[in-house]
Amino acid sequence: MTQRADTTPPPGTGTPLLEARNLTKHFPLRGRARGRAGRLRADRAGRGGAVVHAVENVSLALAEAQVTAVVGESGSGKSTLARLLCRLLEPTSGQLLADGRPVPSGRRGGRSYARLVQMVLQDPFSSLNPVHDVRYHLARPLQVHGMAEPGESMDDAITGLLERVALTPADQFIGKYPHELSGGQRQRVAIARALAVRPRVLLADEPVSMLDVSIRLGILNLLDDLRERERLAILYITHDIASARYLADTIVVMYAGQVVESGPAQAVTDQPEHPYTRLLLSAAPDPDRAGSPALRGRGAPPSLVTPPPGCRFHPRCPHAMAVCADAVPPGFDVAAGHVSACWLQADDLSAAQAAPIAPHGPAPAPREEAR
Amino acid sequence: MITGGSVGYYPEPGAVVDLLAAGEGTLRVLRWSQISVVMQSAMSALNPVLSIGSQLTDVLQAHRPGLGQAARQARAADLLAMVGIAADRLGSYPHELSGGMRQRVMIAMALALEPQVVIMDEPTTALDVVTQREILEELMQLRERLGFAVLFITHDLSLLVEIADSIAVMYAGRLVERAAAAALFRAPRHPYSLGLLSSFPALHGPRRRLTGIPGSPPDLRRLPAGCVFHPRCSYAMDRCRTDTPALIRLDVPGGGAAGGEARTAACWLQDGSAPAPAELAVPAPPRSRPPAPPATAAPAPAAPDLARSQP
Repeated sequence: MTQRADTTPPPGTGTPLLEARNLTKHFPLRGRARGRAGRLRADRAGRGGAVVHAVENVSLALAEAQVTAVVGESGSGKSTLARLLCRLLEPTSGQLLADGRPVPSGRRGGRSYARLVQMVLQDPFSSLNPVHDVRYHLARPLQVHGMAEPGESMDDAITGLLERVALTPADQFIGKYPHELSGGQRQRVAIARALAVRPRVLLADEPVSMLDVSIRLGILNLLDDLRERERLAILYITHDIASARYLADTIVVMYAGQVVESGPAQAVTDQPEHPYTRLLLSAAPDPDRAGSPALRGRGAPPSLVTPPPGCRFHPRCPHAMAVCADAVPPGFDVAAGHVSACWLQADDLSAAQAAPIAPHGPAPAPREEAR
Repeated sequence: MITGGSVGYYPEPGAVVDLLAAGEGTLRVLRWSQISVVMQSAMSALNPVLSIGSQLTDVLQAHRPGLGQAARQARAADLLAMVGIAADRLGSYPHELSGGMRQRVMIAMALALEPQVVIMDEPTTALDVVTQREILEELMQLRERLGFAVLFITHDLSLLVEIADSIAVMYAGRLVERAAAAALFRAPRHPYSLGLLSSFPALHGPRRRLTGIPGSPPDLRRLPAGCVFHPRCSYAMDRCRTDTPALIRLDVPGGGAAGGEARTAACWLQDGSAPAPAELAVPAPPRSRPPAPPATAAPAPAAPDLARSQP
């Protein structure tokens, strides 16, 4: 087993278009919550305001024509990660590289960055403006980025966009308002809007979870077509590991703000290495399963204000060892491109480090909502 | 306003109560003590300004007037323990509990009067998969112990195949197919069921492209004529555009639904006039799940031909 340095991003098969190195995001707590949590924290951290440790030291590379899925439960930091990647949020520390070049911090270069990286949000019922029609939604990015002039060329560009997301015949959709469209059609308009500036990276945050079950596949297949046809690097954020397996080339599993496992999609779902990934897979609905699954690692995610030291999964982990409560596990290569951040993969632990520890108490306290 | 049909509740063999004809007084006695419900959003179903203890004892106070305060408190503590929450949480308010705990409180509340039927409307949809699985396990154990019938309403067909005895598939306000869970999963008879099954990517096996179902669910104010599914159905025939298929009983060996009910589907392909396409005529698997023990199984309310329209 080789141990990889923390700064090395997981390898992709193509050129990384967008790379995150050791991204960390802490949200300071304000008001009453700060007072309470601050007292809690005072024992451990001494002075300083309490923070929500939303994303901790995450490295990720998005390659051309590849779908990377980030899988995790609510509160795992996956949406915060997407917002960091499209620069809606400024990271506490860490670096973004676009096309191999560091992205300047602050507001500089925002528009050129937006031409490279676009985002599709979860809820197409609230991400489209109800008082504007489809033409307006698609014309705005074209105008703002100087991709088309008002007039005939604008209409041609909008028609082209609608055709790219399979809303045809386009003239039937161009004058419609969001309420006249179905959920799937709305999400297609939202995707078309993201495609308007011809981005090379598309960040899709739970793009199908608000849609009717019967039309989810249509949107996932559209993303797959865009990956292939337009060679987009796509980040697919989801809580549904089966859909990640379906769509993605690479799966990244997050727990409580940290990446616990990443690798080729089928390797992660078929030979999961991290105890949390195994728990997630055993809990996922599976019609082929005979009998009820054995859940190993019951309970709930920890508070992100006072996360457990070491591996954040250790209080629930059935295999927890002394070292797990002391040190954050680095990523260990378990196969080609398959990395598990778990001390079980280390082969040079001392007997004291490897001593098993009992999972904490019956159930951890409910975690604070970090939204 | 319910515009047609009836809902029969069978409190004991041979007796039947028509819930639609029943007066408020009868319903007030039946509701919660015989038939209770668990809603999807526990945060909005629970009262935010009352402790969960007082919400649990409220049910007991209303339906068990003979019970003293100490007995109510003890029963509330038992109920919480039953769903895996420590009794010292009785004084907690809903916002102090995690989503999973709130949903557990809802289940405890639904079981407070030991009802015969528990209706669960997407009870775990808002929860993470691990919590969902824990709650389902508890629910199934409680059902085995207490013997109530569960009507589990969800969009997650792959979950239902795992936990249900019998599955009824609805589309645009109508039942289109009913079958034993395994039979529905392995050998669907309605094209919509088939389409739904191919809308869930598998957790195992080779990755293959799935198609889902083309089009979108219809606008319920302007339902298509004939079979409501025909605009999205790849098997649609002329007849489907004009005539509405009834839910008919199918003769499928071994495909009977749990509870001794025959397997049914509402599709013109299954009316026997012509052989159905191969993918809709797969032989049903033998029953793998034993039927519910008759001694404890309560007859669920039957709702033949219930119709409801909203102006």
